[in-house]
Amino acid sequence: MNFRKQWITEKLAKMSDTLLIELLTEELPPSALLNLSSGLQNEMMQSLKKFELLEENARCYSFETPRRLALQIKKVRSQAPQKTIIKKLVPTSVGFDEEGNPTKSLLKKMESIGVKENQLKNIYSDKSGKVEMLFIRQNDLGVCLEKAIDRALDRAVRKMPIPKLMTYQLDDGVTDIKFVRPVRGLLAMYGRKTVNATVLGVESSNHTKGHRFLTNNNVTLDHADDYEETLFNLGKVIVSSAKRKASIRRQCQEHAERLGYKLSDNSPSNLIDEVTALVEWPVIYNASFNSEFLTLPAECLILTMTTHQKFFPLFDNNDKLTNRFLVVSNMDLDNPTNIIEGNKRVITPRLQDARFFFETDCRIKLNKRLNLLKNMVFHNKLGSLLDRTNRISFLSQHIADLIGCSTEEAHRAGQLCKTDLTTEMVGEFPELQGTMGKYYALKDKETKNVAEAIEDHYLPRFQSDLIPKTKIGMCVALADKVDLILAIFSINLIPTGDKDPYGLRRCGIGIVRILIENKISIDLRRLLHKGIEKIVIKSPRENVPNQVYDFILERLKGYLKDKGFSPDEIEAVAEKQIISFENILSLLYAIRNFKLLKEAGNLTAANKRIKNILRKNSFVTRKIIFSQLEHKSEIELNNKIQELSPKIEDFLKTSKFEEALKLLSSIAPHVDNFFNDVLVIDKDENKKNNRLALLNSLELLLNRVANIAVLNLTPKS
Amino acid sequence: MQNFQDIILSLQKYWSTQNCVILQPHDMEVGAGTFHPATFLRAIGPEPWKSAYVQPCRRPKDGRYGDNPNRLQHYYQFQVVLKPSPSNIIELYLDSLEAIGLDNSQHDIRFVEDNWESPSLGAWGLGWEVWLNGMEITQFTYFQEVGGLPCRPMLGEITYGLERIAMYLQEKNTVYDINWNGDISYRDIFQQNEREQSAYNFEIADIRTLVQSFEICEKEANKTIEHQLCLPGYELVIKCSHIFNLLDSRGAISVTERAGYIARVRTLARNVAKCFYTERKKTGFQLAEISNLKAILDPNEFQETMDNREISKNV
Repeated sequence: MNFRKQWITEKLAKMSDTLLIELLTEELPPSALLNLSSGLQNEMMQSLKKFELLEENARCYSFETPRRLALQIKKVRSQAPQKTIIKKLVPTSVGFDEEGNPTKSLLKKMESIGVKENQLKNIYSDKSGKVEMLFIRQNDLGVCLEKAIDRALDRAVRKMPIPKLMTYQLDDGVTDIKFVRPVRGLLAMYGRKTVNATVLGVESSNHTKGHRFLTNNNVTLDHADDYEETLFNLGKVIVSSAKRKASIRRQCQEHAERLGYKLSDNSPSNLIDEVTALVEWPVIYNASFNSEFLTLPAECLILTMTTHQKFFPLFDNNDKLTNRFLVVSNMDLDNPTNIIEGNKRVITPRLQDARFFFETDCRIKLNKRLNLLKNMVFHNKLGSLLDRTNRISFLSQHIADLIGCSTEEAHRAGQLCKTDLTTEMVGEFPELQGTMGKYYALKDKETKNVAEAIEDHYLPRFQSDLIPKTKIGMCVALADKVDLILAIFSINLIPTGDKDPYGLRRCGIGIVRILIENKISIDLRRLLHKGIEKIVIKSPRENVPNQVYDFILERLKGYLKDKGFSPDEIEAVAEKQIISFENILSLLYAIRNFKLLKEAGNLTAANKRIKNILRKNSFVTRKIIFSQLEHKSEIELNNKIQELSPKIEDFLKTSKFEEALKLLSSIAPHVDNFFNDVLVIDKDENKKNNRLALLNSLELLLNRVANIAVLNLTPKS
Repeated sequence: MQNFQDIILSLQKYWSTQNCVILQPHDMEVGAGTFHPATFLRAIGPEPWKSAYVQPCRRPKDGRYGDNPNRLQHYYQFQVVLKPSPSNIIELYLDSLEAIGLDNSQHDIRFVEDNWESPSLGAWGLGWEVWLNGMEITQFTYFQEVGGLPCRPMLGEITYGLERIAMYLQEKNTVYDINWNGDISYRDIFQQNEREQSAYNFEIADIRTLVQSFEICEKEANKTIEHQLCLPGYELVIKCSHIFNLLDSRGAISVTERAGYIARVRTLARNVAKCFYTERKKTGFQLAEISNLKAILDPNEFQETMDNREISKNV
């Protein structure tokens, strides 16, 4: 009898099946959907694993739609495996008295760890430790799924990454529930069985609801494995986001091809994710707007369609926007007239608004808008946007002078670059800042350079974004960014940790990219000092230009790291207190090649050695007295230094870093000989000083091109 | 086809059968149905409340002199509030659309996340805009906080955009073509009003007078609150809010001033909310007697969580 019972328990413990959990909710926030789903998955899997309810090869599939978050976990045990647990009690000498009866302290200990007195027979002693101890062996039957599920669910819903927590009440009107949106159903099945579970005040069942409008709602499941299929067939719901997304992609493509158009190559990827999270049964229809609106800037039309209506605009083969667009609907109708006509009618007033904004804006020229900037506060300590505009145009002009392009255009573009912030269109679509400025500038008959600079001065806006293509654009982009960082530093709002409300880090990287990728030859430090002159505020922070310079250097290091340069290579150039960013990449490539030379290892090692010697010994003179050089090796080394120095200077003047470093490497044998043959720290003070001076000039030469001492290289013999 | 007034009547009838108190508009200039005391004040405290009403709304800045087919400085909302919010509130709402003649199975109806915040009322909620074939026809909001007080139990608010729904049902491309009752159009009733009010809001309204009026109303509101007169106090808050909107449409408020004005209205709204709560408490939360909602009375309900919330651009 006993044996049989145990056999059954073991058999049960070995049994595994699929667990299905679905939270049926009111419509979830699209942007959070995937995170919520993976949060639920991770937390549930963690809990079930901890309860030992997962087989080794258990796998979890997660599903999510606007109205549901679901998990299907294959190979879940109905009960965790039975285990033997051994608990330590007390020393044997303490546990039993002379007659072999349990002592009070033993019984007390047993009670404290929850062992009943009738378990005494399972006590045994063990002599392997220092003191003979009593232990008890207990059978742990393992938790069963039904018991664990509530705890796992409860923990999961509390730990899910909910962006804005909602508090609502159950139907009693009193019990508070906190979740992302109200939960209206819980589907919980294990194989064919309904699992008894309760989460967020909702009790489980074996049925859920299908599509709100395409079915008659209740969908009952036969087996946890059938979820995806049953919901598809009976519920008219594609529960997998990936499958819905693929279906949307495919249908869009088909529509576009049939119409002879194409989708945008660079349509925002979040648009398709968003619509995927807004439908359970995607069906795509195509519609159009009146082509008279195509006279508006394409950017306005595209934004109107994508942000407000989540339409996919279509383009012709020349990448020109057409008046056709695709609507991702949640309804599959034999006669979709309502949907197509409805969406057409929605877009028309929106486009009319856009045209109204455009026409209204065109009535006031950009240069007349400067006055309006006076009323727009940039920061209460830093004055208005007009103040900032004046600083930007001053700096733009200055930079134009330095890099040799039209100072008038740079000044003009600087003046106008923020004026579109006063327009209705940018008020409605902040994303169009700069772009609208360009269109309005062209309407105002500004030069093409000025118009493009207005658009480009915000570049780069993000990591992989473009940088300004024209020189005037670069001037204004640099001026804008330099002024922003200087101004914000001046009022002590320096970025810390993840706090960077003005995006100064991004700005810094922008400056670095513009200087490097356009090979602009500018002394950044001097530019910063120029820029600070115009920032007039009460009690500004001190020494701002130098701090900003260091701040930008940090961004430079990050930028170079992203480019694949190693820390030692970056240090070799950054330590040099770069004067100009323009050549930094070619210098770095030269350093890379230098590192491959067989002499490089010995040279960097020698360089470190020289640095040490020079640090430890104070030397009197930097001047080498040639006549006092006596040893062949030191004479030759000196000759070599004298020979190489002017040549390397010549290479540097023409930015021939690779040649310079290669030439430098030719000194390696002379250095080796010197260290082999000559004792630097001679007893004779004069000799010693002379040799130190020689080493000093050698060090200057070695590090003239880059700080090679910091390179990670192993010397080669 | 339903005329404009039929839509209103249908909605009233439908929500009346759902045991809502059918009220009339609040007789003041408000920016939204939410300002009606039947929403703002009734959202406070534990008492249950169900109500439905039409509310004319004024948004001076949205005026277009009667020229724009969709934008009006005066329009209508149909407002439904259910507290506590029943678990079938979405189904109730969808049924109401059938009641005004929509066949839900032949349209694409969507609930698109749209959370609501009113910095000047110290209020926020979570919810959706309801799309009918891409057009927003309703705002659906679960109130989380009002006047800085948490909403327990939560109030569910359904705000129908009546003109949009009518335009859709009647297949009109401009609001002015809406049939009001078959003989009279929306144009007949409101176009002149739009033209004149737009001119007043944008050109004529005297800024100095408005600034002074704001001060006076604010002062008066504080006085009423001192006297524990929350309802008159609340109406003065409504006045302040409308004056602010007028000043805004006159372009008389700079960015920095804006935040200041909003903060002043919010302070008043909060004090009124507290005052209303206290006054209802004195009655023993009469309406709660008829349900078990007294169980959730919580002395910590005066948590003011709006303090550090950033003031967004919207009023």
